[in-house]
Amino acid sequence: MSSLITLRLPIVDNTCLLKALENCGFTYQIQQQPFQIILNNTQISFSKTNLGFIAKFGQLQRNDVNRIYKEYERIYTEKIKKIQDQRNALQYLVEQEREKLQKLHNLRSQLNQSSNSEEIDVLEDEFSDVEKKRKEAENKAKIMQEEQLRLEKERLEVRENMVNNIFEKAKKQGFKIKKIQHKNKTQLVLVRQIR
Amino acid sequence: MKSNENLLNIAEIIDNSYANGPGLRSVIWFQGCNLHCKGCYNKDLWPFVQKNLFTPKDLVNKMIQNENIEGITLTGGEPLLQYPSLIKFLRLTKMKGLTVVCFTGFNFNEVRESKMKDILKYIDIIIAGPYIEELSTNKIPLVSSLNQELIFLTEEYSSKDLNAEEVVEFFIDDKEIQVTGFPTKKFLKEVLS
Repeated sequence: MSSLITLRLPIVDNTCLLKALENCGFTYQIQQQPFQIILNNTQISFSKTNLGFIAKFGQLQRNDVNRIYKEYERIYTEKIKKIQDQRNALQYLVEQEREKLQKLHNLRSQLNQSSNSEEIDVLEDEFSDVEKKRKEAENKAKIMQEEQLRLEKERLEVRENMVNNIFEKAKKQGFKIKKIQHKNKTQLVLVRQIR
Repeated sequence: MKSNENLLNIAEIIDNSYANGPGLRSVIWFQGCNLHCKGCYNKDLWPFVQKNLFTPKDLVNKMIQNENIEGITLTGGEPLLQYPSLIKFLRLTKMKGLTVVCFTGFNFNEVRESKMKDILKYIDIIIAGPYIEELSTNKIPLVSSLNQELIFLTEEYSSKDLNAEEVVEFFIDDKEIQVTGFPTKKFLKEVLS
């Protein structure tokens, strides 16, 4: 039969992994932050550039590994979604504050024309409050966006590292390699003359 | 899972493979195998559990959506254990002009002398015989162990169409790596570590 081997890419987010281990009922002790832990008396090493998770967890039952991974994926996806939701909410707030500012701008122009200094002062205070809120929301949204981009970049890097790793090692083994980029996946075709 | 004569139980499909027969092919891994060859790479495909169910017609329609392929490859699991629905699928596949490569753990004579023999009419290349770890090889295209027979059943292909090349394929997305083709365990260990 032609082989069909499916391996998961390495863990991107160690915090999510530790949370997944907890949720699955495993006890752990962090040995050397952040890449080495003792899990149920077994020393586990994992990093962002190898497939260590599956390999080193070999002493665990396959079902356990699958369970941990499933939980990890759930937590990680939830984290990404939470960041996205927060960012959306903040962007909505920024838009609302912008609208308020526009209204206050218009009002101030009208008052300027009627030279009502007392009302203008009140309006200036309100104006400054709204502007402050808008800036705060905008800054938070920016931080959220940066975090989201960082996570996406990290995930892409894991994939790129994996592709490069296979590419380099296969080349050393005498394979000719064809790289085909599909919409959502990278295909590497390794060909070597039978010796 | 009870066998259903009208449905095919498919574990996985890869749309564009260069490692599973001549040219570009769609590869179909069937779920379920009772041969349990020692050292089998695809143990996940042994249990007779429900995966993705297709009617023969739906599966053919899925195959022809990919206009770039010249044929399909059946592997598994054990494709021939889904014989009744498989023959319906293959009949439709050939009507659409696709070529068929089939891997089976049964010996060729077993197939030829069984009730499944009619299926051979629809297969262009068959690689038949169980995987025997002690006879493992990567020196013959499409053959995993020396006891297996590679037979051209039609004139569609000949040995000239099978380059003397070892082909391994990787598909990498954001979550997984899939490896197909005929890698040795040593090679996989080196490349993926």
